[in-house]
Amino acid sequence: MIKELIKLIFITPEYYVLFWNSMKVVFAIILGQVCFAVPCAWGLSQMKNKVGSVLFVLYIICMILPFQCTMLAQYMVINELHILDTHWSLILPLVFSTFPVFILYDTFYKLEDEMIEAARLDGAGEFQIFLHIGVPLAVKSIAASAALGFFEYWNMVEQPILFITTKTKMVLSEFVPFSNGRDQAAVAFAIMSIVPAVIIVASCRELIDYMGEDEIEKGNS
Amino acid sequence: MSKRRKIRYFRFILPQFIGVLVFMIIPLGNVFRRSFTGMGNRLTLQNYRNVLENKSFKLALANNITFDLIGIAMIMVLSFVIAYLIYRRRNARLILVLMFPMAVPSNASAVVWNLLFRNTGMFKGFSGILFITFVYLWKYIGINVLLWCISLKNLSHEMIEAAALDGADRYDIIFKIMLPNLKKTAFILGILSFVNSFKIFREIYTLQGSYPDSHMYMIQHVFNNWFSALDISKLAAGSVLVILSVLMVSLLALLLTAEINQPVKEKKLFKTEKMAK
Repeated sequence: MIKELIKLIFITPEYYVLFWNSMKVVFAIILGQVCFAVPCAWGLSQMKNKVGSVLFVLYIICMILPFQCTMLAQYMVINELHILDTHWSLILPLVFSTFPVFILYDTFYKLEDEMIEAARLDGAGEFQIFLHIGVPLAVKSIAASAALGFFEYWNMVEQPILFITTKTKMVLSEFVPFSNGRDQAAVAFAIMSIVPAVIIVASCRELIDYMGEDEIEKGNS
Repeated sequence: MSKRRKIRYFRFILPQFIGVLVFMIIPLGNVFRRSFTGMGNRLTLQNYRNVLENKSFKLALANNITFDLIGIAMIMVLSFVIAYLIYRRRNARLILVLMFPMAVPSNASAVVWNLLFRNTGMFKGFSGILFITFVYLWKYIGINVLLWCISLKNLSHEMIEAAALDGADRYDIIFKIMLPNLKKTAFILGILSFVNSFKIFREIYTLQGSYPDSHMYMIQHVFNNWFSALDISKLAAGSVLVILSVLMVSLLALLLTAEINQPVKEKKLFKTEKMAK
């Protein structure tokens, strides 16, 4: 068993390439989402008028559409932009996913208006308010949406099997591990691809404790 | 002021919104237009007729509906029961354990399913809808339990205690106080479970490829196969049909859960309780 693990990590070049492809794609998506979705959620939640809520409903609709109804649409854009069969075809559509906006909207919406108004009266610019009041108060939600994003994109299968054809550009999650019928190698592969997930779950333990245990006890006492 | 405020916030929204327009809304409009275009750019419903008469589409649709009905009903009930037990026993660590399967890549878990369920494995014969329902529950129950728990703990505690003092038993509290006040959560979880149910494709694809067992043939398979065959007009019409049905299901769920205005009810109950004292 351990022999198989060592063989997989150090000798199978396939695994190594796929692993780093996955890492690259997933972190690029999450970084992009943080850059674009956080300000967007801030803007939407602070508008507090009809335009804001209409846009938010539009975002929710975009969020609930499963990949199978948007695959043709995405394919046509990716084809237009000539990024088919590159990692950009996986990264770009997901950077503009509306899911993180949905998660962060609620957090920003609940912030007290007085605080923001006070900062504005003190002469803080809109961007300063966002950066120094909005972001620090939403760090936990941003981390939660990044963790959920990691689970989701580390797992993606539908997009890569359609958009990526070159073998060396494939990602770990579309790899079919048991084609040759060797069980031990398959199990070794499974163990290795769980590792990043375990690290992420372990690091958001604090988050879940915060959401679950502490507050349930607070509620019960 | 209001107008200036609007413009001020548009600056934050715009970069992301352009991305959503380019990658989602404009191409979806394009797909919608294409679904009605036939040979020689004429307006036609022929694409829809082709899709609805297609045998593999019908099979996949029936499979999807059966699986959704069984899977969503089971995940909603089971996750509420688990969340209720966690809430009573105050054992939040269990949520973490239940969340873990969601982080396991489909092909890694497929290795285990393959060992257990293939013809020589322990549970052979346990296949089709039952198998995918099992995998679906295993994978997505954690997030449902987490969200139920958050809402349960946010319920007004005074209200539940007051009911208990009035002699309501455990089941009265669950069915007459907790659940009616959790309708919003139920709606969000219903939609979330519905969206997640489409992702079961990943496990099926990793285990059985593009042409699985006929009980596990999902709409995603049909679309992928049309895509490989470059059958764009059928794919466009199919996409529009799926979008419409997703929107209809969401609207239905919204109507089913929207009518009760919870804060008002909560306050009233609380007030009458105080007056009685």
